[in-house]
Amino acid sequence: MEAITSRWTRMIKLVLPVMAAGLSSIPVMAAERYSPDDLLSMNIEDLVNVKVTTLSKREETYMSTAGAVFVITNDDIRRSGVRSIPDALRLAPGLQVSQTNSNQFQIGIRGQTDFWTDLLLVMVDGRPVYNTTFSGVWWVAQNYPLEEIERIEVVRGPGGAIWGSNAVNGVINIITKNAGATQGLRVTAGTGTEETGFGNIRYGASIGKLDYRLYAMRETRDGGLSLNGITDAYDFRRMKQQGFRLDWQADATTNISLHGDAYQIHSGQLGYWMPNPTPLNFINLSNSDNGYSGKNLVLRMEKELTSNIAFKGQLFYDQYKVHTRIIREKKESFDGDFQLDFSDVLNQNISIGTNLRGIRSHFDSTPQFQMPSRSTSLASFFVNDELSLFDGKFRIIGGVKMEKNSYTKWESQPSIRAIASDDNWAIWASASKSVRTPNDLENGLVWNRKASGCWTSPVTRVACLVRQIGDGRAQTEKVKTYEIGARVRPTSKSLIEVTAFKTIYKGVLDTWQDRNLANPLIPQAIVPEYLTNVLNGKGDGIEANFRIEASEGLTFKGSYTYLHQNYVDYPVADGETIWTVRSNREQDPKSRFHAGVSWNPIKEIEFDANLYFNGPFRDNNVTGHHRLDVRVAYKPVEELEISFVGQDLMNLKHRENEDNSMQYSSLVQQRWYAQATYSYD
Amino acid sequence: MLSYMMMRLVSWPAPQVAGLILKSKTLRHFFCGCLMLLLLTFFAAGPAYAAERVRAGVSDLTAVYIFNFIRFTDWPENSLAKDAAPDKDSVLINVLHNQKIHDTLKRIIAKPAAQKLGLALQSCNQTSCIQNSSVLFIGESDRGHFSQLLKLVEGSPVLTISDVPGFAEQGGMVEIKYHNEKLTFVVNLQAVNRAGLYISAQLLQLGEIVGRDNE
Repeated sequence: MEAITSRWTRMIKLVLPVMAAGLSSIPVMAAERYSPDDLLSMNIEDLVNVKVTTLSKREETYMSTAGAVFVITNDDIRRSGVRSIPDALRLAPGLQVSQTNSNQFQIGIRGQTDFWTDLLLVMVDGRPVYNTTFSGVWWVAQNYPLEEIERIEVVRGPGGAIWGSNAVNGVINIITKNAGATQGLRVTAGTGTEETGFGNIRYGASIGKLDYRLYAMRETRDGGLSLNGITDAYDFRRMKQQGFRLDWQADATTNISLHGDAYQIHSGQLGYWMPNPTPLNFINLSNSDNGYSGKNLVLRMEKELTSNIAFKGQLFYDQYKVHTRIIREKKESFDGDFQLDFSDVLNQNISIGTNLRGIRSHFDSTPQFQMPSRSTSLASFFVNDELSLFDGKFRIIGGVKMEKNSYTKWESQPSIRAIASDDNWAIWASASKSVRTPNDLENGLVWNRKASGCWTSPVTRVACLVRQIGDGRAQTEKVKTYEIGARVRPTSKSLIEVTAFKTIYKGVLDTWQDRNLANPLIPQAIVPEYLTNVLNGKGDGIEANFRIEASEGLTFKGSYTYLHQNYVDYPVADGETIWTVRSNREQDPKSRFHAGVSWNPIKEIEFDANLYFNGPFRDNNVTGHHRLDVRVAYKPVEELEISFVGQDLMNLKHRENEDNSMQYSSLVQQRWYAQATYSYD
Repeated sequence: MLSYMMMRLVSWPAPQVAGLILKSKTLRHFFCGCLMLLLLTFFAAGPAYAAERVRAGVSDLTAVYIFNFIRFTDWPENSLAKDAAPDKDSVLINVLHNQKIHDTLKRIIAKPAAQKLGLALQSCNQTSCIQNSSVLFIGESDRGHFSQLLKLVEGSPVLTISDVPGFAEQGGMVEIKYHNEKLTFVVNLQAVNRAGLYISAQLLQLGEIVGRDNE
């Protein structure tokens, strides 16, 4: 007790001069000392770490995660100057983000990245936004006011043992701010060369223990350039979205939140159209309009039942409509997710959970694209056990998820992880089995398509029709992943992480053209293309990233990703699948890096530069690409921020990706915009 | 320490990773290059040690702690004062022997975030006043006499908090203590339970616990 007392006195002696200095030279010291308001705005988890600033609770959790995780913070997003969620993801190591045209993005992790990327689970506040139609994400429809996003958590590698199927190569969770953290009025508006007009408004307030916010956003993005480099391409995007979030601390142990959004998006597309898809018919290449709309409502509850049992429950309803010239779908999902966490049971933390989802999809068939309307379901259970040894310095985490959808039998996805960690370092390793389950397209699709290289020449038109067929022959793709990683904090203000991985894919799902004369479609001059398991493959590589706060107001950050992939055309081996092998291998760059600097020359001015590189990939028209974004911001008063951003400053125009089966590509232009944000509490 | 860390990082994963996972020569090349890059960043990181850290004033942080303890505590039904507004529970905080914390708390409870908790503040030495409060903070200058104050509120739903060393060990509920350049806290769970209070596990897991029921 003596020792404690003397330490206490010593501390006061130490702190008093600091406080006095703070008063005498406010401009310099102000940033060095937290005000009561700063402290009040922090979570209790953060408060216990104030003063030493070694680790906040979140950093502590981060350091002790036995997996390849990365967090893109609100500040990272704001300072990078990006204008969309897909662009913000370029800030994370291991993410392959590319843009076909002004409104279509492809996002993948650790390979197989194209429009149909099917190995990622993407969520907004715990609500999955990847769809069971093609196991992918309509990125054009995923928007939120960037100012209201608290952080984006990216898990590279399998998350199947907790999240379920399709979390094969990664999980992206977009987490919006708690309503309590977004009180008052904020208005953001801007204009630029490509982002011709954008703005959003938020108002937050509270009634008793209930905090809420309302927001509305609107954005207009101009089209890119046609491949001739002269005329405008028809790939504009216009979006509107509105939403709300309520957070209610019902009592000391219960938190309830309710949030919902609604969006309406229009975009242009250049594509081909077959009004009457028979082998002898001509194909029409023309512009058309796409519409995407949707709404969702999510109710979440977290309650501590006892001091070491916590309950989390979530119910959501999600509806979206896609209306293109070819595809017309309406999908509704009803989902319930329940989880119990038992902490400190014989040195273990145990979680069990279940998820049930009902899905109703309705298709209006078009001459080109036919799918049955139907109801499907998904059910899963998981258990996860974390064993803690040596005072938490060494932990083993084992888990398994059992899952069944309408097309599969029960699939199990186990994983085991081990980590040794302290506040300043961690080394971890993991082995997981995960699955990519068959989707709706693979069970019912009939899609009449133009064969590649086929135009309206009367000579070749006979071979112009390919009929893509999902007849249910697709089986679950099984994936094994091994990972090893290390992270270290050489100082309290720097972090370095390295991860190496190897992924083995069995039964990669893709397309296979059956050219066998015995197939009944061949005599009709239609090439049948089946959705099925056509490849086995391997991918390995490393991901490394660092962040250093060199001084007050100067931060360096960056990442490097190397990916090596190899596929073989097995189980189906013929002259057709070898092309699938090639496209799979070539659609991801071997090397990628990001290097960024954030600098505040004075308190009122922010300067940021971010350089991104995508290594050479594809044998065709797309090569490697450097992208430089620069942002300068000025804050004349606390309430107002004015910023100027230049994007893609190293090229006037470039082609970032090839055409794909959904849309044709266009050239992405250099872009400039100015933005102002006014906030008032 | 820096170089020691680096040795771990370099010497541990590299051979294993290279052997187990990375078969191609180019890949190994990249991996080594990357480690070199890391080594460089390590040296670059040196000056960050000298960077001044952001600090908080002790009474500011203590006051914010008290506010947070209230947020994470449930009082038994009907035990909270109903003087100001009869339809609304009110948490009455009594701060003794620390003017600074009293003043900071006064500013805090005027804020909207605190208003919804229905906080009221006083600094009152009278027995009835002390027994009537929901939270009792005892400043360090009263270290010799705190056990008398604790006796006054024994068995009643009054959350007792202090920065007197040894407060939790000696029957107080929450002790705020300085440790390793930060403020942590110790909770005497027996004392809390005896008073019929409930402190959320979210808070408990961040502090040190004495007097668990099974001990």
